[in-house]
Amino acid sequence: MAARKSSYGKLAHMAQKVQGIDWASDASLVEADEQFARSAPLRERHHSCCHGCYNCCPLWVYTEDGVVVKIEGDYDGTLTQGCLCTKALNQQHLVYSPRHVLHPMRRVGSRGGNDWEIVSWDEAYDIVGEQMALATRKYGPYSIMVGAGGGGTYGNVFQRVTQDAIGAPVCISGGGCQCYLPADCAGQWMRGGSNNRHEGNNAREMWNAWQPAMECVVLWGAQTSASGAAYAARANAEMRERGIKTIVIDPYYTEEAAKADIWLPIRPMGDIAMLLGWFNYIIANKLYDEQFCKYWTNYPFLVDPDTRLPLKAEEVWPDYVNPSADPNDVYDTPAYVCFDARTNSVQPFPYTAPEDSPVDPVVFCEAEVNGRLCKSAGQIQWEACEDFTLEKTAELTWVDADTIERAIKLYATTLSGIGTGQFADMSELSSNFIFGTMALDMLCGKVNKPGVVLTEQKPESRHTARPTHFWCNRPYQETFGIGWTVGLTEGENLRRSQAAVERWNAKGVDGKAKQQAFVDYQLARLGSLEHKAVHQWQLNALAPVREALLTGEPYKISVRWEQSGNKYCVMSNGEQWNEAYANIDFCVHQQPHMTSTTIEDADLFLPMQEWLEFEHATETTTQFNQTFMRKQIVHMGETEDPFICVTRIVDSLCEKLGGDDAVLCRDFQFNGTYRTKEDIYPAWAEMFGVKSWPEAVKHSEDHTLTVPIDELYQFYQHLDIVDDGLPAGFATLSRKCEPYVTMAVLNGRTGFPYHFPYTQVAADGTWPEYDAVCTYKEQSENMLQDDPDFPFYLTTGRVAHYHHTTLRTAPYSRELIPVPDMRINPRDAADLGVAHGDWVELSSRRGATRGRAYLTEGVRPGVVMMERFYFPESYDHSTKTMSGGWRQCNVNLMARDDVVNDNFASASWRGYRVNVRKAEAPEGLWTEPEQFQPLMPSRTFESRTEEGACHA
Amino acid sequence: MAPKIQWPLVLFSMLAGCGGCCFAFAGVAGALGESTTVTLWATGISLVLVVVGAVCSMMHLATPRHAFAAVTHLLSFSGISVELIMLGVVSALMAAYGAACLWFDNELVRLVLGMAGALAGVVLAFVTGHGYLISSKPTWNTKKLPLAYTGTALVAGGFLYAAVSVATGGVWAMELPVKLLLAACAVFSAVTVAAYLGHLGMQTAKKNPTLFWVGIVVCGLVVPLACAAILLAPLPSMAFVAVAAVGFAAAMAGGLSLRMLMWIVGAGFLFFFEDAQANRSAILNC
Amino acid sequence: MPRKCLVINIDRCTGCDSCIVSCKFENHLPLGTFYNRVMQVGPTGTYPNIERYNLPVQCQQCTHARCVEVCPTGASYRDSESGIVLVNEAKCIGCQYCLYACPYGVRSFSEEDGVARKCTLCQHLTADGKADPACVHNCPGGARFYGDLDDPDSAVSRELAKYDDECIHTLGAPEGEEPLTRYILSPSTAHWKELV
Ligand SMILES: Nc1nc2c(c(=O)[nH]1)N[C@H]1C(S)=C(S)[C@@H](COP(=O)(O)OP(=O)(O)OC[C@H]3O[C@@H](n4cnc5c(=O)[nH]c(N)nc54)[C@H](O)[C@@H]3O)O[C@H]1N2
Ligand SMILES: Nc1nc2c(c(=O)[nH]1)N[C@H]1C(S)=C(S)[C@@H](COP(=O)(O)OP(=O)(O)OC[C@H]3O[C@@H](n4cnc5c(=O)[nH]c(N)nc54)[C@H](O)[C@@H]3O)O[C@H]1N2
Ligand code: SF4
Ligand code: SF4
Ligand code: SF4
Ligand code: SF4
Ligand code: SF4
Ligand SMILES: [Mo]
Repeated sequence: MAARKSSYGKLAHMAQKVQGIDWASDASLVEADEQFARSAPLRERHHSCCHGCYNCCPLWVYTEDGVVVKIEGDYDGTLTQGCLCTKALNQQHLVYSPRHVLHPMRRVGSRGGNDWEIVSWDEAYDIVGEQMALATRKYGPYSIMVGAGGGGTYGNVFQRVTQDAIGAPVCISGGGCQCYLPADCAGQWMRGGSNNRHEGNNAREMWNAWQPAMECVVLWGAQTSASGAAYAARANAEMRERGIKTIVIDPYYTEEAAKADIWLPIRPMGDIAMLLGWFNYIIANKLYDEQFCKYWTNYPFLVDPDTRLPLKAEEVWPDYVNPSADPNDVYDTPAYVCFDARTNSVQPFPYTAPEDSPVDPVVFCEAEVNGRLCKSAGQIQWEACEDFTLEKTAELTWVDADTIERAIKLYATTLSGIGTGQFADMSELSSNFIFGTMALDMLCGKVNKPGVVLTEQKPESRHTARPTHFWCNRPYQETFGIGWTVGLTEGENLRRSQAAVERWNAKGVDGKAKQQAFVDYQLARLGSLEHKAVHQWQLNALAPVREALLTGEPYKISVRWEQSGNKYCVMSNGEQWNEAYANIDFCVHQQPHMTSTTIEDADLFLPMQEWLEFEHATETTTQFNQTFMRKQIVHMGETEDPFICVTRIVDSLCEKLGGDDAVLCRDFQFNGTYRTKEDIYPAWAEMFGVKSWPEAVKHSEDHTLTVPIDELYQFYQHLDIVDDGLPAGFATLSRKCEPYVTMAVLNGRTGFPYHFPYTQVAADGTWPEYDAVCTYKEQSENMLQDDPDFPFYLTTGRVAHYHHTTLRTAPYSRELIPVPDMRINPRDAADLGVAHGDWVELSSRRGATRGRAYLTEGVRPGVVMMERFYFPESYDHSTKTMSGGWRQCNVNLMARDDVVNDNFASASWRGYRVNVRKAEAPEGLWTEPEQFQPLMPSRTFESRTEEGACHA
Repeated sequence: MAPKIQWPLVLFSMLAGCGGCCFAFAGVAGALGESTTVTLWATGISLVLVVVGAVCSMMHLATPRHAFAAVTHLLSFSGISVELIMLGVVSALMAAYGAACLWFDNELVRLVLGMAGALAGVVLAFVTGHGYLISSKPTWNTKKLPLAYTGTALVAGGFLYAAVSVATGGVWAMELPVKLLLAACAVFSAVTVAAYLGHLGMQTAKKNPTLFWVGIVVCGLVVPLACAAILLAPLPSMAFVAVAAVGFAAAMAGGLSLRMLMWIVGAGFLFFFEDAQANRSAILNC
Repeated sequence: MPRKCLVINIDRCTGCDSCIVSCKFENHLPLGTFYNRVMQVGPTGTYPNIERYNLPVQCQQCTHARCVEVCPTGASYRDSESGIVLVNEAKCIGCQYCLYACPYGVRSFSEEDGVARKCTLCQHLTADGKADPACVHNCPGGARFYGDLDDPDSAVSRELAKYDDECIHTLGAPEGEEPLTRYILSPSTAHWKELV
């Protein structure tokens, strides 16, 4: 009863504020209660899942007469068990926020002024279509650039398929090259499956409470209690209670580190040295899994010193007949070359079950093959780490040798695995790190078995045929005949390519020309010639895109279609981007809330749905073994579903250009998007086994699809005997784990597997050589240098309260963390004369910004840590000086993208030198709780809003 | 982290205390034979101070309605209810004493009312401080606090009485017994304030150095002692009034400063919510 | 009288502040007003030889509740049935003495309504025994427990039973307040710091 009373009281209060009705003015709560009792509100409960981040925690939403009055966790969440983080709870404010834009708006006045007028959706689509058509006619389709969201986006697929549909190659993301793309490649390239990153439902054996086998987990730069603020925090707590030991490798004393059994307080970006130290110790002390290495990895393969590719048996013995080859030339099962311990000679090494192997391959060796000295892949890895004795490792990582040794021993002698975070993707070290951590688990045989990280946890992972994979799940090969399916022979890949061409021809379109157009579009991705793995996600290196914006070379970019929150906050080089974006002729921004990007650059703003308004069945709706319906529980104003929005924009573009044929491939769009809800409902309904999605949603119950736990956890899939009579193996080139990353070598050479049967090589015929094993590397700016002008080193870690650019308009978050903390060691602070809570200025060779000092012994002297931030109050109409709010406290102003990782073009947004000094507080920021009153929800009862009321 | 300075309470305790003590002086002077015109003036002014003080204390409660609620709980004998009781008693005695001066020409009645009033006035000053004896606040939890409240109120009330009485033609204030009484109050105030500061320790007491040196030491201790000493000497009445007025102003400032200090140093042993907000939720030095 | 309170397992707490925000939504608290906070205690020591923990705090349900003792109107009271220290807002005159008297500074004052408020252990949810407090329900660490210390079958008693005495702590109470709230902190996580 009390609950009802207090919420009614609140409602009355809100109603009073919003509508000016004096319902409860004089009345005590009791009287208000009676008023309401007469018209008892309809109280309902709806099941859904959160999209405060990509983790999809299940929850219940309570409404009273359709107004959300409460959000709480669902006790039936396998991992969450009812918990929710602040980001989820704050959705109740975000959806009713005065800053939640409810109608399309066109800018009036100059960019930066924050003056808008409402337009209808029809008008809005008309404007975008017209502008895009204009650009296409004038400069071609490459002139339309897409801005994609990273980890927080409501979906990545629709951006990609939209690019493919219109043939617009320029897409940049705050994530992508800086987040997960390297791991995605590593997973596919090295084991044809998932990887060791904590995101994306990987690395979850440690949470296996049902058949607990794991004894130890290495959390390498992964702060899951913040980055998985609800479900991972909960699962971690259960895991520790089960007694799993944790080794945490992190420069910061995170929640994970504070509770770890062993914490390696590493020098930031000293990780590659640390990895090589682990390799060295494990190999030198024979702590690796020799059997696994011999038969299930490519370590024993002898490598051609010129091509750097593992030798195939046929290359050495032209007449060699591979006993495992597919007589139908469909599935690829190559035979390689090894040094055989039984015969003490170089021998062909065909793919067989280990017990049937004709050879006993030597993992670490050199052998002469046809007059050339060839090293085994294992030997190459060994030589890369040979120098890294414990002493040297300690010297380079700044962790003492004993602690390192204890950690390695614990890792190597238990059922364990490495789970990684994203920090290295934010650096030049991204490939070295991900290849190294994956390879280390492979070296130790920590693959596909209980108690390890590298397991394939889905029922579909069992095989009946030799496993294959295509790098994305989109039908490039079927549609355009482009790309190589790993696990199929060259003949089969060529046949598939040809078939696609013929399908076009049959439709009366020149198939070869279509294919060429698609390849040209792919190759036009900026920076992809040097960093060929950006193709994995249809991305571009960042600096070349900026260069193109500024110079019009190699082609003019005229329209910006921005679908992420606030690139000024999440990406480096903000000032230069600001300059570059000024050259854009037309910018459309689609988001639920306005951000700095809207203020600085947008000409048209398309209001998207917050997740309480956004229904979906497939886009980030799965957590662990459960898939949830994300329901539309409220709908404010005219906010739109982003999937429909992008489709309608392309519709409009096609219409203006004179038909669907005017773009690269209109139909490709529908590999992930839909034009209307009615188009997609049947598919969703089928997926959830309900007759009708709208009906099911109305019932508001829990429709969760659950994979039974014993089906979820699958092991030893590679040992399944499949239809060729052989163990299934892995979906890789060799059918084995590839800790020697052959794909990286091939990728550098030709762009393989992305453009097959075409290649991507420089005009002068040269190509980059990418490392195939983890090799020592430091950041260009590192802590080993003496740098008196920039004596500190900056890195970052997530805070649980904010997801990238989101939630800065959530008053209950801002009152707790109004401005970013700049974490600094008290001894450094004392030297600088800085006290806890003082403002400081940080500067690097590239830029400067401010933060508020948070003194903690949790950071090493010489290191500072700070998260990204921007301030929506800077463009509140109450402010004295209107601005985009992205300069005051934005670490990324100091970061860089001019030096990047070779393979993945990952920019250095962490790991660079800075200086720190005491400074004044920036002006106009809200820091006291009461100041956030203008952000409190004001639209509880609004379905439509007045013009002007709907923006800042 | 300390609670915010509660200005209504600071003003209330000073004004009501000062009024009560001024009334006490009037009672004593009346007993010595001061003219009723003079004591009546002093009583009137005291009553105004007490009433204004009471209004201030109401401002501390969110709504005046609450003051009535407080009255209905008089018998809880909590700090607040005792304050209320004493406010009532003192006001009633003032009114009665005033009435007696005006309408009853009975010295005994006046004497009894005057002496009772004197006692009640001082007790009022004491209880306005006594409510703060709370075990969880080490800086408050000492009898020295209400005694210092009493001392500062006595000296302010004494100077006020001296100034008012002489200005309205009184004679007794310039006689030795009252002068000595005033000097004794000044010393008492100095001793109790010093005792309370001693309880706090110098480091805490000097948390706000200006308040400490200017407010408490100079205005609260040095100036009143000096004025009381000067007043011991024979002075023409204009000069006497002037010195007493200076003493009064300083004593008020000193008394208010002491009360402000009480809030400024009024941290409980743990003050989580305030600390959290001020320190970004960190307890660093543990 | 039952001894209902929260038990907080610090070994599991991640300092995520979700308990604060869920409490604020559940109890409609204005900006700047809190019924609970989470303090970071430490790190103590010198990098990298350090330790720290998170200390979530709210009304400790003192056995000798100073807030009740000083209240002039009986508005702050101990509910005879549940044993919980509560505020009867109808009786509260807003004098704030309870705020001054609470040894932990975990009460708040509503300027808008002129009354003292504090953690109610979510009585509106928990009184009928059907639901958990909002902060307990949503806690990402699964670190918060609600129930009766005297009932061996309650969530709090069961959680406490898993730990040795050396892991169970209460906030310092120099004047014998006897707070009921128990904190679980294993020495392997960090050493309990007496903050008083
Ligand atoms: N210095 C530094 N920079 C970094 C990082 C770092 O650690 N340090 N991290 C990097 C990483 S890993 C990443 S992934 C990027 C991320 O940075 P961005 O790629 O820019 O990602 P988001 O801000 O998540 O953008 C996605 C937007 O989608 C919106 N959104 C979310 N859910 C929904 C929904 O259901 N419906 C609708 N309509 N909209 C929704 C949100 O409002 C959000 O603003 O930042 C990178 N930048
Ligand atoms: N609350 C919240 N949750 C999120 C997100 C968010 O923005 N907010 N973003 C989501 C996204 S897109 C991603 S990619 C994930 C990322 O999730 P995580 O990978 O867990 O990301 P972080 O917490 O940023 O960084 C992890 C750790 O890396 C450490 N670190 C920094 N530099 C180094 C270094 O040089 N070496 C080592 N070994 N460690 C280092 C940091 O101290 C931090 O503890 O989080 C996701 N979840
Ligand atoms: S962890 Fe992510 S998905 Fe889960 S509740 Fe928090 S924001 Fe929502
Ligand atoms: S919600 Fe739970 S885990 Fe998070 S800070 Fe509060 S008690 Fe700790
Ligand atoms: S913690 Fe404070 S509010 Fe709670 S019972 Fe104790 S004294 Fe009262
Ligand atoms: S504020 Fe209210 S609850 Fe607190 S002591 Fe005063 S009357 Fe009692
Ligand atoms: S029990 Fe309820 S009132 Fe108390 S802190 Fe938790 S949510 Fe807030
Ligand atoms: Mo990310």
